[in-house]
Amino acid sequence: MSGNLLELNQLSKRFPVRKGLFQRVVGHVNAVDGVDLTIGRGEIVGLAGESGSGKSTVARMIVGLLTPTEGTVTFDGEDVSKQLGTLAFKRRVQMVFQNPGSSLNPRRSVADALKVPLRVHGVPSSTWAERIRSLLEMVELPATFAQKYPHELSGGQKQRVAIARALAVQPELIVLDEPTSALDVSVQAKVIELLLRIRDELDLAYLFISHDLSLMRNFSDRVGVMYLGKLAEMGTSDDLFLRPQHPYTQGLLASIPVVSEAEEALKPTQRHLKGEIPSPANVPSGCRFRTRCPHAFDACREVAPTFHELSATHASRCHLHDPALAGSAEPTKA
Amino acid sequence: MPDDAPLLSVRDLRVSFRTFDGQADVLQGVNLDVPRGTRVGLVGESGCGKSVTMKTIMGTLATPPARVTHGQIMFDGQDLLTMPAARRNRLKGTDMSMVFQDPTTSLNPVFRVGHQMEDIVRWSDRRRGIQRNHKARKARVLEVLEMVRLADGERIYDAFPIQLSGGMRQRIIIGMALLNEPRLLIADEPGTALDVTTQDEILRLMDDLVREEGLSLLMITHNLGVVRQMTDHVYVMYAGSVVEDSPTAELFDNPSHPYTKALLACVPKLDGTATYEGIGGSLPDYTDPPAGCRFHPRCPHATDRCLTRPPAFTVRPGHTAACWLHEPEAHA
Repeated sequence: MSGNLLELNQLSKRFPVRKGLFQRVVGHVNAVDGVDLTIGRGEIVGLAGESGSGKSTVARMIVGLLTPTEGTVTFDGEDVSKQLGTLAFKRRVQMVFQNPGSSLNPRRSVADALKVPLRVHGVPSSTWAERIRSLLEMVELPATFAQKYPHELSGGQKQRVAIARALAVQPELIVLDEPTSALDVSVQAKVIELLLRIRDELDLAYLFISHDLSLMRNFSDRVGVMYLGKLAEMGTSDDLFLRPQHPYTQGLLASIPVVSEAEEALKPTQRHLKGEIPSPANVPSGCRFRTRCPHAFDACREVAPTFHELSATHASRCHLHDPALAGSAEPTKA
Repeated sequence: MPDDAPLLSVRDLRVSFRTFDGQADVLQGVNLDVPRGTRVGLVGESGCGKSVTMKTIMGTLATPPARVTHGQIMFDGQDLLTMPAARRNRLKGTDMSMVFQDPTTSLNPVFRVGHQMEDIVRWSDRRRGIQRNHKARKARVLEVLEMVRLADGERIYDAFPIQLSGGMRQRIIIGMALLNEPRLLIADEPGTALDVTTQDEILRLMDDLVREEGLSLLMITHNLGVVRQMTDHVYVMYAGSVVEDSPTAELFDNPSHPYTKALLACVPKLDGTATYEGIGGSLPDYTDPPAGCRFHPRCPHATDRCLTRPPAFTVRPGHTAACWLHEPEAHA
């Protein structure tokens, strides 16, 4: 397993729930609950799921914006769980946020925005001008943009600046949190093309967080689907989109609006998911998906399912893959 | 008025804005029909003028800075733009009503849901000169909550918006639009702020309601997948005019305007066959738009012809594209 750039081992994040005058802790919210994930060098791994599934919390722990409650993070073969927020680690892992309008300081020119990481990480100031020029070239913006301010840029251009800023310290992994969801599709296509080209040129790895499953299908090498803080299914893009096994993944895929008959044929035919994701403060017993699952049977209420390896690359956390349990139960019909 | 005339018919609508950089000619002659009992989509990217079109129809456009310089908006045979303001206000929110995009900002956080819904009933009753007591109004609200498939209406009536999930709030927004039994429902990106599974449920609900209540629907969105699922006829807008309009299935099988083709190519596909070409360039500056076809600076097929504005040419019956490539002689 030493070939992996990043390894998450049973990573968890618990937020305390406080109440009353003295802000006493009255309970906990398990936002992320024992996530195992690996990202290889040059690999794009996607995390999908509804709001509240914990995908952004995973991203925030990796870049050090949140401290994990439990579990370890290994980077390039070395346990970095204790150094997640440190400068040395942040040089190797960078993040691009969803809304470039609010992640760029309106009073800083593009050049100033790009200088911040260079200064913080101690890059000699004599090389800054040259670095900024090459960074802008990397994200396909003209060198004259260095003097512009965010309000002079379109949404796509702002996101390119945010990507250039992440690249400034030559990281090995970039966490992309919904990098294109604020953009129009015609702009999104260009930004995605840029990200793919940079990945190839610099041999970068991406952790890609998105709720746009069609985009995930095209952009990611491997995809994990999260539900209430746990991975429900993990596999290559082909595994997940051509052979989805977990009822939640099937439900998600069935609800995507698509633009052609060919795509319609790829959508699972299962019934649509009912209801909404429960609160992570009050996780259902047994399988946490059972309250919305069209196949739920008795065992789902009592026993939490484990990951079942379906192939070398594909695993799903569902009792239906366990012949001993699934054989005995008739799926309940609603 | 013959019953087969469209419920809503927009003719050559032009809207300009006065800005510091000069006059911005945003809508450049929009034509659009919503026949009775049909679902019509208006699709385009940010800044294409779809919201301005919608606001002009609803009468919520701020004038100034905007000014309607030309055109007609016929609703059930009457021109909304020339009728007295009082009459137009009576139509707004009763015969035509609107479903807003963001369920978190379109509900007031400090009032109970039932209170806010009853307010709508009370005000429109007053405008229509009807007298109803609190009990009758509450009964109507509970009836509508049931229509939008919210079980436990009494509890929701007494709830504050924050106590409800995003999907429930979106249902309430839809319910509010239905309180006065409108004939035309205008929906602005419904469900876009929600997760795909919830969005899917909301779209299904709207579709059911439109059929059950015999409504006409005008849906404004940037999502081509939603348009394909939800509408019978589509208008594609670019830079202030309709560049293509067609029955929905036909548009997706046979997109004809270069912009529609490029836009469809940009949508990531579930079969993994995406191309990342995008569309080069950006939307023109409305104060200084390109001459002729506003898409020509970004169009791979542009010729000198494109410096003259193309009319809507018929591609097939019911399907038009405003592009010189579809001029009849060009094919002969």
